[in-house]
Amino acid sequence: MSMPTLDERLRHLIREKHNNTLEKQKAVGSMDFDDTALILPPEEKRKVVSIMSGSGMPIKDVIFNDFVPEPNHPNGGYYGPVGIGSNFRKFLLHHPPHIDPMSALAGAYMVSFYSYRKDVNPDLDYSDLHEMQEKYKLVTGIFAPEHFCQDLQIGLDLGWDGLRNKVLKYRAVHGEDKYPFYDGLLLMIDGFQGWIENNAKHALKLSEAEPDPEIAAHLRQLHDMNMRVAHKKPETFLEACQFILWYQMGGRSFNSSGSLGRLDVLLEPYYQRDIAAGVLTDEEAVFILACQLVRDTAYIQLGGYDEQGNDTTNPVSFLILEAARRLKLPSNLGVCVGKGVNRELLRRSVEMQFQDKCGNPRFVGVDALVEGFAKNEGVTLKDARARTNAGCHWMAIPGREYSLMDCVKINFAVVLEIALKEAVQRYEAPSIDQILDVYETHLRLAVETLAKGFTFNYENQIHNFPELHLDLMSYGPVELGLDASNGGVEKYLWCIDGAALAVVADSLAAIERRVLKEKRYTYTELMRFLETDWAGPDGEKARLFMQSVERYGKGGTRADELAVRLSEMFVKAVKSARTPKYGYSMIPGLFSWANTLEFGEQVGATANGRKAGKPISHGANPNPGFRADGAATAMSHAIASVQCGLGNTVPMQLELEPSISADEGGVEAVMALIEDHFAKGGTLINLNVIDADTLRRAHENPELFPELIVRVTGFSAYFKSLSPPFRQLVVDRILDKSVS
Amino acid sequence: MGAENAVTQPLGIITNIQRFSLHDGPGVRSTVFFKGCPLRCLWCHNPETYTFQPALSQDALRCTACGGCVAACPQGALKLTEYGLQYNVSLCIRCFACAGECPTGALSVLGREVTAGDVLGEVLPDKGMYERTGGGVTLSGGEAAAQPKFALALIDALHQHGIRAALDTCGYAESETFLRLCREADLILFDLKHIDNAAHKRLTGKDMTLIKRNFFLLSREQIPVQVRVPVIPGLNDDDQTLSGIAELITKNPKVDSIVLLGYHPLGGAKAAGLDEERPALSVTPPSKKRLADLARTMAARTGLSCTFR
Repeated sequence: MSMPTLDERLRHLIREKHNNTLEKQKAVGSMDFDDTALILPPEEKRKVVSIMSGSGMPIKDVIFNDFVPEPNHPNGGYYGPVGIGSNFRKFLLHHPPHIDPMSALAGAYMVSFYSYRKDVNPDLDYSDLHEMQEKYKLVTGIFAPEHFCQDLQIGLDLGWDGLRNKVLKYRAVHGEDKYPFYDGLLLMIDGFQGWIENNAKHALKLSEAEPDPEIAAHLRQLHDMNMRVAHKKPETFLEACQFILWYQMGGRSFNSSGSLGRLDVLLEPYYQRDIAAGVLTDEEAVFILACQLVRDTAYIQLGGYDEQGNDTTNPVSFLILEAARRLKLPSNLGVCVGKGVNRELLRRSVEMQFQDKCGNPRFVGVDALVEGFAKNEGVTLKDARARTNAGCHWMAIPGREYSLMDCVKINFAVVLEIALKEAVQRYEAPSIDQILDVYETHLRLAVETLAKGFTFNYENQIHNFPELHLDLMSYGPVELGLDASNGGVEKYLWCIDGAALAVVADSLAAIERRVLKEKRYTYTELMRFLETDWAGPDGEKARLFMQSVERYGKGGTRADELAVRLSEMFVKAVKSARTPKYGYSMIPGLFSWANTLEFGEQVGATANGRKAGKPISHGANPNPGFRADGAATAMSHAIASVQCGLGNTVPMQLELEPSISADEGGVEAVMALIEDHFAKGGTLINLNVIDADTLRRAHENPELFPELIVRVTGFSAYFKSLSPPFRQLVVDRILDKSVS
Repeated sequence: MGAENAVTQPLGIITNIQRFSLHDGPGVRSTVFFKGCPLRCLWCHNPETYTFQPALSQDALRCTACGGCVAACPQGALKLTEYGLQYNVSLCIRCFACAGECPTGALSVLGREVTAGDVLGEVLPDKGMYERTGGGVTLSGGEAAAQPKFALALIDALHQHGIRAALDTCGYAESETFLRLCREADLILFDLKHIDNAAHKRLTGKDMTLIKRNFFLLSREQIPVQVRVPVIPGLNDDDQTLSGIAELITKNPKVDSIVLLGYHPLGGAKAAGLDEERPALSVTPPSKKRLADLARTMAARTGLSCTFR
């Protein structure tokens, strides 16, 4: 016996991952969210709980049944820097070690610390905002965690001991009032170091029992390396990956933090040094990266511009892509595409999409993003170039920007529902302009309500669940003694996403044609149909008539025009508002994520023939059935035309049948489609190259396709892990059935 | 296009513009399907383009039997029966009031009159895609050469915007007009369906005389051609026919490549919803392997690149 080859070790890790996933599916059921790669704790230590995820979605999760957090509040909860920091430390020290002797890296995380929370701090009251938040059914982002990106360079340069010294240094500079914050940070560091050492010791213990000398030697190396990584700054490619993995797994567990930023840029110096020294080969680098990716599905940007506008694509970009390709597991790579970015990276990525059909990677349109972000006040071109794709649909300047991206949403369909009722009352037979006037008033009120929420969050999240993990590797929090949620970082550009654009555009176009032009129905009839959810044969017939009006996405339709106008109106409403007291500005985007289902449930029947409770349209995507040929170019044009243009994304969710890959030039055609969308101002493309028949069969019997991966939105997931309604949504979108 | 131009521009009739098309010439293309064709190929993929007039199209699966169309028809050409909607073509005056009253699109009008400017408006958004992939717009159908004025106007409009135009043709058109059109187009996709005059007439309704003549006129005029051969098992895929086609191709030095198009039954399904009768065709699509074999043989016989799909 001896150590298996790298290929064999990789296959083992993939097998283990599949087994873990099956176990997770058994333990918690559906997972309409990132497959975050955690490994379940031993069966006797599991407890299943229902909680709200970091993105505000209700989910089921598994926690340790033998870990109890220590409350620091009469309600039994734990809040604020010390409450959170001390419990996270305790949690990490309680966390069982996990060493897979086949992996190049130690560790795995088993449980989300975030899932132990019972409630938010009850002393922090924003009931004055409830009425308006409820009226517009807003996703407010209040007390939402993370959704920004650290700069790992800070940690790589300092190591854990260095970070500790930095915190101690600034603790000494500031007054006592800052002690709780600094103590929270020190407790975090303490927890991390203890966790890493526990794993290192476990590796040593395993090595002593290991009969195979080569494997035993590898385990001893894991021990030695991790004892170093627990304290010193990493010196090699392997150590850098191990360091980043600990920080990332800890963050994922702490509060779901899931972005690594520019991993290729961060790792390149280590790679070049090790290659030059002859201590690393490309094959080994790919294996190490795969060992890292298999343990967490963090968001990683590949390529893109540096602050000077030079392309950062480097050999590590390709190695990361290759590692993901070999794993064929859910992962979240965002490949930058732009005039100055290496096209080979795009080509390799498109080929990978065709070969693997795992919906990986995604594509980031850096030119429009940079240009758009630089339009915001106080943002320089350098800032804009430094911004990184850091999440599902979101961007952040590593270590310098806090924005609650992806946590704050307005469902346009709710706004239209309110506006239409009011417009009909006020004008009896309102024109489209009159409806839109009322709509705009309500949209502005919704934005104003969200702005108040931002200010509340800014002042209060520190007393609830501070960002201690991301604070450690951001610029400002440690230096100033301020949490990132509370003024510690340089930029606050709050994100507001709109959703259901197509539902609203198609509804208005349908009203204009069937009610105002053809006079087929009066407003009284229409409102009755909507209130009764198209009841009766007349209702159903009316629904079909409203639904068959040409839609947004077809190209050149009234609905296309209206969608552009709605987007412009949204941009204006967001840009003209400021957060109270602090005067921060906000940035609009269009994205609905998993809210597509939940938002649909909140809205009654809509005038585009959609039935009450059915899902809303996905982000800025047209409604399914928007065009008989479903032409990707038509969709691309439509989505490019409704971009908000200020640096936040308006993603295109694109499904392609792989049959075109068989054609000569299939890869080139998709590359052109991607580049053309971005040249037109597009910002992000989530692509699924998928076989429609496979999907149909998987929908009928998911058990037969346990390994089918789809890009749900910004994240990819096992198709089988999705809940039945979510699977339906994905299937309808991909097979482009009409809305019903 | 301004209103002044619109009145002087020739009108054409088309059924559809398909965007992101990857099968009608090089690169990414938009394919404009002209309505009206002089041939009646038994296997036609696009039988909705047979006639030159707008026609009523039925999609029985989408019909909810609401009766709106029956009430709207001034001629009594439509009846709801236990077998679904019955359409009496001979009574129809093509007012299409019925389609306007159909809530689901089960009844629709196939064919719309457009100017070159109208088409341009629909294909321009993809100009970047044509440029990136060496693609463009393909005039297909139906038979684009059967609407030569409109086709010329369209090619001209495309060229004014730097978009390349391909003509996908059956070659059955008055020679002078046909050549004028071919000289303007950037690429000719020329269908060769058989070699024998009688068989050609039986399968397509017309013999090959004019088609052959036009095929060789292209050679004389030095116009490059891609030949497309539909492969219809049992009808034209015998060795004698295919070697005859190969021989014909070798006599035209301007042919630069060949594509074999395997029969697919979609046309039959489409024909079922149309107002023009077409005899049913019972043919099994050729396998990939069979097409690959035929393509290899064709390439060997002609010395040209031959692909298939």
